[in-house]
Amino acid sequence: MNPLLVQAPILAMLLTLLGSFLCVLLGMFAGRRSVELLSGVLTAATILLSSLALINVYLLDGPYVYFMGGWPPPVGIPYVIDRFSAPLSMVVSLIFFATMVYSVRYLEKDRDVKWYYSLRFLMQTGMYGLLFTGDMFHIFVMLELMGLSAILLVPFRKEVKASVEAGIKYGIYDILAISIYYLSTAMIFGMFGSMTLAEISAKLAGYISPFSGGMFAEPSALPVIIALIVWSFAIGSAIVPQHFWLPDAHSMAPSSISAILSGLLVQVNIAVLARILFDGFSAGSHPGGTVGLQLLVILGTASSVVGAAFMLVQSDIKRLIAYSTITNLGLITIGFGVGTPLGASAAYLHIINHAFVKASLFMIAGVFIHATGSREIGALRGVSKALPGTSLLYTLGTLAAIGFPPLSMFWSKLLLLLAVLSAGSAYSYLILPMVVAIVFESIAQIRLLAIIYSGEKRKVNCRPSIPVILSIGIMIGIIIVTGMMPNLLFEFGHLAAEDLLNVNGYVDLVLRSMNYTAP
Amino acid sequence: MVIATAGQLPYILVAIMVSICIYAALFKSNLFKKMLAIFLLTDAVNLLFIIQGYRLGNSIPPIIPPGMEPSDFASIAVDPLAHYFVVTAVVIGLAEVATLTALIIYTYKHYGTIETKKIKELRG
Repeated sequence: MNPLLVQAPILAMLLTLLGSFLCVLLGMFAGRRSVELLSGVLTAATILLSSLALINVYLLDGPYVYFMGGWPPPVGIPYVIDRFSAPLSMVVSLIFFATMVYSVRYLEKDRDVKWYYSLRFLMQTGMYGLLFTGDMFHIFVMLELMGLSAILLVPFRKEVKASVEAGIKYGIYDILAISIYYLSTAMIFGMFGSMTLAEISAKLAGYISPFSGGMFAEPSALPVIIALIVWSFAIGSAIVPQHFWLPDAHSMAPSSISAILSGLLVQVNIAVLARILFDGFSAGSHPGGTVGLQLLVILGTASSVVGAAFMLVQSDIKRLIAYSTITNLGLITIGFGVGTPLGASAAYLHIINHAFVKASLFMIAGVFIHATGSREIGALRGVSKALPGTSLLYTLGTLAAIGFPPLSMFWSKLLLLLAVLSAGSAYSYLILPMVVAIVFESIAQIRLLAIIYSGEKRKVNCRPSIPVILSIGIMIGIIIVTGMMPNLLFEFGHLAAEDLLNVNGYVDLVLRSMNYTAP
Repeated sequence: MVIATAGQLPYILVAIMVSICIYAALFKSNLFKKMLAIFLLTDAVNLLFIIQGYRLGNSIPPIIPPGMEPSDFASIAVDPLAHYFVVTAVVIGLAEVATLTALIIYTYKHYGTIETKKIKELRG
């Protein structure tokens, strides 16, 4: 075990935490160029560290647990770096790097950018923490870190009236969601006497911990706890009926932040919820966790249809893309809720593909809004003749979003439909709402494309600069390349689902240092 | 007839506090009242942690006296883990207060009111 490889994901996290302090410190004494240079270097370093972790997990050591501060669980906080969390952390690093390159020119006219970069780094730290951690209370702390920085970044242009309104709306509901999650951790502490996910699922199976013994109480209240957890994460990831804050927050934020919020934040929430349900409450094998999965299926179906229906009536390009996020999150939720390995791997692939697609769409929408000076869809008429390159990138992104083969999201949507069909007769009726959602989404996206390509050539205020096009190009390139290699994608999804659904393997991995034997 | 034992009363208090706070956070139209409700909810959960860590009867502080068996000690000592959670949550709560207060101040500057019913720029 190479110590650098083992510590790479933790170093990435510490680097971003350090970066958030250094950005403010440097911004006080030096100009904005130095702040941008510093955050660019640090964000590039996190890509390197994440890829080291990925290489270590896939090719060298395999999944492993890092003990924070050297304390083994359940005393300390375990960081589980496995084939579920490592690729997602790589996605986080890549999208943060692309939006970093994008925001240098995008935010040229804004003041006080040091706070922007500082908060971005804090959000990145929170995401790494959420993906890796195996401790319920640590999830609460990291949710706060990620949520508070996102809440402050939405109204970054605080002189715009509507963005402050979107910020306060998002702030109230996100903090309420996190408080509800905090309530559920208190109930878990009372019931299990432990906050480690692995110990919770082991105790459900009858394990006696050397520190806290067995269960403190009968697990009769477990469905209540799980309903609270699902509710809090449903607000955080904007699943219907808790979706109302998302279109406002994601459309009023600066486009570089919308890309992160829509591409990463809501999906990290779903990934953590899947981790809690499958590895913490042994969904599928224990009735308590299975309640959570059924809730996910119901909410996900509602979410996909409602989001797609609202897409049809939008007149604002960023709101249209935001509602598309709700639809796709519904599909991801159904994938996890079905509970089969195929469903989990399809949902996992959809998280990764949707992250890149949605980030690139929001970044191009930002370019269009700068160029035309308007957010209305009608104002985009004829923009393809003025900005042919950007429009081509937007077309590719849209085709990927509606699942046009062979772009990446075609494969994950196909796999999701297959997973629902093969999950048994109880779930196969879900194919109808899913197809309706996909068709509605396609109609809305193609209508937008048609408007972009229609009309006479129009005048534009400014043309996108090279770094902006380059950062979008990286995203579109990843979409095309991953779409060309479906076998590799399926392999990633399969291995991730294996690590997620194998509760015994997870518990054994985390508690190995406590001489754990299955009861 | 005994409705609740003395040990259950604090839990009932927490349940009442939580229900009132969630109701107020969702249905009150004043942003400042919404904010207060959310922080009161966090405090109710803090109380729940403290109750769960407390041992009724002749409890002792979590410092192990010389010569005492660890298992005997664990059964009567107050659980310090709950206090750790509460201290962390209180610190995080400070960040929440600062964030939401700043946003409410900006809302007031732009709209001249903090009633959600009168703020209707976005469709929602």
